[in-house]
Amino acid sequence: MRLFSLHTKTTEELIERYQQPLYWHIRRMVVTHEDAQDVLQNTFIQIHLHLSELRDEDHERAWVYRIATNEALLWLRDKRELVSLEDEDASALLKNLSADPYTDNSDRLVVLMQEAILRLPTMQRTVFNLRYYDELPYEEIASITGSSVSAAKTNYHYAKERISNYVTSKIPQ
Amino acid sequence: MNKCENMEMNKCENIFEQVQKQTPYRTPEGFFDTEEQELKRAIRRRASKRLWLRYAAAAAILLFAAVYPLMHLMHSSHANEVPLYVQTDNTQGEWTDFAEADIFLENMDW
Repeated sequence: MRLFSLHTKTTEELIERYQQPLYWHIRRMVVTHEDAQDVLQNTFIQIHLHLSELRDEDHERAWVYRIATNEALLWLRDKRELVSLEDEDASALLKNLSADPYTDNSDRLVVLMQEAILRLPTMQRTVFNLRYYDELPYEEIASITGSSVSAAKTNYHYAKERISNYVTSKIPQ
Repeated sequence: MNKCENMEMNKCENIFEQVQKQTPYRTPEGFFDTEEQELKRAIRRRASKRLWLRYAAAAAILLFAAVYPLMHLMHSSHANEVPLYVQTDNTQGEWTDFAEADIFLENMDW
């Protein structure tokens, strides 16, 4: 009984520590508040179920972010939104951006930037969000996405370029 | 690096500085406080459910471990009983032994 209490207590500590950063990371991937809330709950259930796999505190952040990223990607795949916006089906993400009641569309530049991010291929989008918004080191990003440090750097570089080109093309002369 | 002062007049050369990591995403008021409590409740419910499932499984195993030897013992005690016999139509005939599908007719009066 005591062992199970310790397990639950550790999960609760992780909830306190990572609830907000994970919510925003997930939200930037799935766009709507309602979906982000569902994915966040799934994430912490998975964290709780697999807590014994957490090696040490040094890898804690990468480990929880990896679970959150995988849950968000699974969610998008199930909703057939896991493609770049070059595919017609993926336009649902853009629609969600404008339709979600918990999205503030008043700042055009901020919205344009999110449109640009949502148009990126999944890996570039994930890497960009983790680097730009979460300010994670490339080593952790590589661990989270299952890629290499050099691949993460390359993805981030190309993501920034594409975002910049998209936004500047939408700004009137 | 140049900052865009008026987005309508100038093309923004460094939008990342302009945006300063803002997003259009918002949450309902008080969301994180209530969500934290809800997450903890969900984890506790799940942990409790798993605990009861484990107790039930352990109880089932213990019950089986306790009952199986008794069942085996009861089955073994029948081995020394007299096998089932049926009377032949010969009034002086012996009982017919049906043990293991072999019929041994003893002292049959043909």
